[in-house]
Amino acid sequence: MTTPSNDYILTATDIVKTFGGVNALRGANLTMRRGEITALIGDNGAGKSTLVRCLSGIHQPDSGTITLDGQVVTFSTPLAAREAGIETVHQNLALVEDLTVWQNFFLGREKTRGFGPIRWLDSRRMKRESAVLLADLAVNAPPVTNRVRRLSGGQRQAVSIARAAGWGSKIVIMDEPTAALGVQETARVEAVITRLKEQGVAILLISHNFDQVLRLADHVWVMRGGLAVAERRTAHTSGDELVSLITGALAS
Amino acid sequence: MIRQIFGFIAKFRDPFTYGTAVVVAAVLYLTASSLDRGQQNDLTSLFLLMTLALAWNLVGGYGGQFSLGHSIFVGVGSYATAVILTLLGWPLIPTMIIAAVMSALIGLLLAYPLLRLRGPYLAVGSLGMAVAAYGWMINWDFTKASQAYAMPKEAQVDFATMYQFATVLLLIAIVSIVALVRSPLGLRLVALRDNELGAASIGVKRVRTLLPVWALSGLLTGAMGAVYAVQQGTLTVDGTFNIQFSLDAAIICVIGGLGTLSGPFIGAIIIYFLRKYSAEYQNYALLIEAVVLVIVVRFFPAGIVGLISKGFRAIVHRRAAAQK
Ligand SMILES: Nc1ncnc2c1ncn2[C@@H]1O[C@H](COP(=O)(O)OP(=O)(O)OP(=O)(O)O)[C@@H](O)[C@H]1O
Ligand SMILES: [Mg+2]
Repeated sequence: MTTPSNDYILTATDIVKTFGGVNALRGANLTMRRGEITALIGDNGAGKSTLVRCLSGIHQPDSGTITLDGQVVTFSTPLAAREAGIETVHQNLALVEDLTVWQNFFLGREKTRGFGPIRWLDSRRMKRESAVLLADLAVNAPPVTNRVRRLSGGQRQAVSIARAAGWGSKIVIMDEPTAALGVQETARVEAVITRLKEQGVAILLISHNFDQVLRLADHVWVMRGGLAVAERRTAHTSGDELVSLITGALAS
Repeated sequence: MIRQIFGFIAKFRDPFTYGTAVVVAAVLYLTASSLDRGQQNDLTSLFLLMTLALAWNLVGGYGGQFSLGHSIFVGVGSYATAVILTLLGWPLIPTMIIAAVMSALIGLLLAYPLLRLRGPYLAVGSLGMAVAAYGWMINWDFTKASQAYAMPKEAQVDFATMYQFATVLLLIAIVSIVALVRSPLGLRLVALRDNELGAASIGVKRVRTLLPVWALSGLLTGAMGAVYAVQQGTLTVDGTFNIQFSLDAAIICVIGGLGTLSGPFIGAIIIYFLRKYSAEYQNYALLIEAVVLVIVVRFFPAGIVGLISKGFRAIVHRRAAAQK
């Protein structure tokens, strides 16, 4: 069904993932084209987040193949996926509330100064760089020395996305980035996503909001019961069709 | 001007981060020559209490792992010092260093299984290890543990030397802890405490982060045990492998402020004087301590340091508002 080709920056083929007795993924497929926003939709429990976690190294699939840039890859850890160029903004926000924005930005990839093995955090540099990255993407950028605890939901999403975008990554995956956000904050996060696309990053967007999917995405994959059941160009589909694909009222 | 100073201080959650080491060093420098033996002994006890609390705070405060196993490090540090001196006849200072290193290795050994546990389970697990270590030592002929173990004469130093040991150890503890907290490891440690899943999802590794922290905590606590052995002169299992050390450290950090640099200092000073002056009301001493603990936990859970930095922030905000 999906053959790796040069058009595709990422393909996932026949991904199976079982938790105890739960078949979260039963041979799911996904492709992402370069420079595009690919949407992934499906009902609660369809397996979207599980697929995302397989792509970002949190879960290891029981079987199946992932290719990135035509190369078969396996990620044993989240760091391995990040190093390969896949950054993820997870559904449950992965920011540490008690740390500042800049500390969150660089967590796990800290910049240091020092002599030989004696290193300490180069906080001035990290503050400067994270402020630039954040200002590039978001209009409502909070000061980078603020603690995340004090940020609004939209600001947090902006920080998470800017962090994901800030590493010269090839792919940024976003799991429901605007869930739980108000109208204005949603618009701001959408602006961030569009801006990221303009920078040439391929984006995988998981969303329950069909308007948003049709507005932002170029391509959409539909999941049901741990399988990818359909794919459409957003230009050639409608909200009604997507609904019936999700519920299974319409066969692919 | 005042506003700037307050603003500068309020920026840090811990208002004394920079100053603590400087102040401690200055006080020591100024007092060194003018102390009598009683004062030297008192300060040795206070500094050892501070070192113990600082070391525990790494794991219990910054790491959020409420260890009740730290008495093992005190015991290993003190008994290793005594045994090496007696059997191998090494000079005192290298012996204490080796004893501390042994305690660090024990730290790694204990942490490895303990790190599978979290929260109250880790507290209970570490308590179990402390109890097991105590039982084992009590029944071990080799260390003559069922009786008192006299330190050999190499360990008999005068009060001034003992005071110097405690002072140097305290400064080593401060410097190494500040270095750790300001390193990537310190950032990851706090991140794991506050949001383990989030930190893990971007690649922070729990065991790899926590093992070195337990090792450093074990090293410093073991060194504290070594100096404690020198101070005591005679060791008993009850006096070294005692759960009370872990409890003291935890209480001090909770009162002073968990996961702050100055919390252990403030807490240690309070507990030290509380004990010194409540000793005459024997039966009530423990009660007084418990009441203080309850008041702190109930009314300012971030400890005294948390209270102070909140106060600073309030002053800054009020002044900023007044100027508008
Ligand atoms: N770690 C886990 N352990 C056990 N079961 C899991 C685990 N993660 C997911 N599942 C199960 O796998 C299935 C797919 O879950 P997943 O979170 O991928 O759905 P989703 O499509 O992201 O749903 P939502 O839209 O609600 O976020 C569900 O039945 C869920 O209960
Ligand atoms: Mg999900």
